[in-house]
Amino acid sequence: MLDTAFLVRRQNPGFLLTSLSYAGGLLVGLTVSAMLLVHAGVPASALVDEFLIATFLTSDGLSQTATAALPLVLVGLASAVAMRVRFWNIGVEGQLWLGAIASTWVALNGIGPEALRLPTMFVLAALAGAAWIAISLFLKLRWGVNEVISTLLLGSVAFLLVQHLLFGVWRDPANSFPVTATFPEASWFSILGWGQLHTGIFLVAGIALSIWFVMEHSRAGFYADAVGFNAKAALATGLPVLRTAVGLVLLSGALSGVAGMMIVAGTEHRLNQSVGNGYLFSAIVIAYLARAKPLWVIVVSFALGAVFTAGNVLKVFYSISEAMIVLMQGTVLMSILMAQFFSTYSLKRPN
Amino acid sequence: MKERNTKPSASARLFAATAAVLASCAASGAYAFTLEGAPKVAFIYASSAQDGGWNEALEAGRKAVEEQLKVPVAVTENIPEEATKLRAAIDLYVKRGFNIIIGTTYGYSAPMAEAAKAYPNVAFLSASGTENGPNMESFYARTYQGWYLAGIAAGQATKTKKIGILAGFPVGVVNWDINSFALGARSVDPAIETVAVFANSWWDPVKEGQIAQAILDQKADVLATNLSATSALDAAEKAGVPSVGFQLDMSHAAPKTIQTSVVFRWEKYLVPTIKEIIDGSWKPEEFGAFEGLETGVVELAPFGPTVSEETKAKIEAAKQDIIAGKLDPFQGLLKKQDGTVVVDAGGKVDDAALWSMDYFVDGVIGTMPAK
Repeated sequence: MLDTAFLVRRQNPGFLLTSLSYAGGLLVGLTVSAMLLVHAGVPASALVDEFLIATFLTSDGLSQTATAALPLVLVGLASAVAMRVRFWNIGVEGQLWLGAIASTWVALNGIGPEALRLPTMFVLAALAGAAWIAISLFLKLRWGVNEVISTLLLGSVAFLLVQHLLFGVWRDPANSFPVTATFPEASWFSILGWGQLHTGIFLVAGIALSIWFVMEHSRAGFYADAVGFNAKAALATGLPVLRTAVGLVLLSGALSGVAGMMIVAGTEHRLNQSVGNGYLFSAIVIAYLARAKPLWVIVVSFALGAVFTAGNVLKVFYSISEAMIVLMQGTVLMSILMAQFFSTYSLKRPN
Repeated sequence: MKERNTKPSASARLFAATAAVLASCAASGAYAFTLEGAPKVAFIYASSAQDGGWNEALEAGRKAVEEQLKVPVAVTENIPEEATKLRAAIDLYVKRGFNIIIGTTYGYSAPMAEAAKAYPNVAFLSASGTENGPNMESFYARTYQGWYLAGIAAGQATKTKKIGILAGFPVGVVNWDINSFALGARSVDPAIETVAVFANSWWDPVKEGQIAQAILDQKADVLATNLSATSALDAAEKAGVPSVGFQLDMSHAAPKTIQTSVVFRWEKYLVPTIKEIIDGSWKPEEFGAFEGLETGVVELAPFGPTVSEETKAKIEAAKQDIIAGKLDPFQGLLKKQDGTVVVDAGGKVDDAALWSMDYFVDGVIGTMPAK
């Protein structure tokens, strides 16, 4: 019988062990989710039909997944780059709202020439998102205010700002409803002709590949890891710790801001009170599952997009609630994280 | 966005209908809508269908459609007001042969209009929507007519000459309820003042209860709610002051003190409209369906035990006058809170101006958020 045991960190868990535990965790998570759904009244046969076939094997399902994945990739990257330098950005939604506000401002007021409308929206959304996270960064650097608290609270402030605008200057002029007027078409990403998928996908692909290059193949990525693992040691080695951390945190805010622009210019074509909801949780899930690796962020975002697509089917035809879909996400996340724990640590008997 | 402009009057509507019939005889219905396949109806809600108010009133209409028209009716709840998520739900329904789609919030309107263009043989009905087209009709009700009658009940009941109303957000369809309630009370006694407070939420029972108490503390002795929760009525029942409910008969929350509730009877719109869609005789209104007391889409729930016969008679008389077109809650002389004239004597607020109503009328105590 095992009376005492020690948890010992493995020096270097091999590729096989890591991938097996990851796959195992995924399998356990999906099985538990499937059991939850069956318990909630979805017939097991429908799970195969709706989950696998409708989501992955139909053109509509795939285009919906791809469309939903675009902002997810951006918020996932936002969370991931900050995570690399151990900055917990819990204000992804706040920066996203600011990006949405900035691009809405450009779209509604027709700032700049029409041909440059989308680039203007992009730049301002990125700046707005970066500016919003800069507040938390400043508070942390100046007074040591915990960024978990400040980014989270600033997220609520950003939402109040959106409400202030939607119930004030931006309310629909025809009926006072709290939604903006529809943007002029110059501010829309054009449709590619496959479902609702739009040209924003090229922007997202460009951004994701650039970040992959910077994080995995440039000096900045190496610095980031050094700062993340041990900032003091990095400083002692003479690395530009402050510059790396500040740069990546601002990049995180900018990416969230661009996600806001992606939503309003890509699919909504207006600003309302619900466009940014739920992205914070998704961002954290994606960054964790992808272990903050840019290419994995893309893969996990598409997987999560597929969960939303499948979830939509379940919601429409089986009255499964949004809460159940979030519960499934959480279940999968928890199982994978627990499995990762066992690939990182081993149990040892005392000698 | 298209200007929301609602149809002028019942008589003009009748005229339009006649003209449409004549036109369709002449041009063999160039604008006619035909349903493809057997009728299958789907209702999409942004939150729970059993919310005790707005959705539940539509849900009653849905059940009537199912029972009276004997067609399959599906329900989906909790689809957020986001274009991608709503569109995905619509696509799924259409793919499975559903061809009459009912959206239940204004936030669905624009994405529904895009879907309506993509599926010309599917009929779309958008509750409190803003878009209309050859296969899409928005519908709302002249709730202000009911609130005017409720205002009379409140005006008759008050002794302190101060009444209160709790509302959600400062949008046109809410502002006209508050204003009409105040005007109804003033028709009883021009000295009556109406305290109006926005909760800045559509559903927050705890906060609503606190606001209700704050209104009572200001010496208001009648309390109305323009929201789905019954918190204000609970507070009124506890304080023993008369109350007015909204959307559904809320007498269960305040059996002793309730005067009446302004209620939606969506089946009076949904059943005939969906029947027309199935028959092939449907002509979507160019500016949306906007019915009131005359069709019974809006009406008052049965009066509470403390309502006097005199009050009932007054309300009935006003109701008949509104139906006959002799009385309009927003007729001149109408003044804003600050004294500026909205309409001179003899005129009335037209439908477009109703939708964009962003002011309180004279006699309301409260602040409209600045633009």
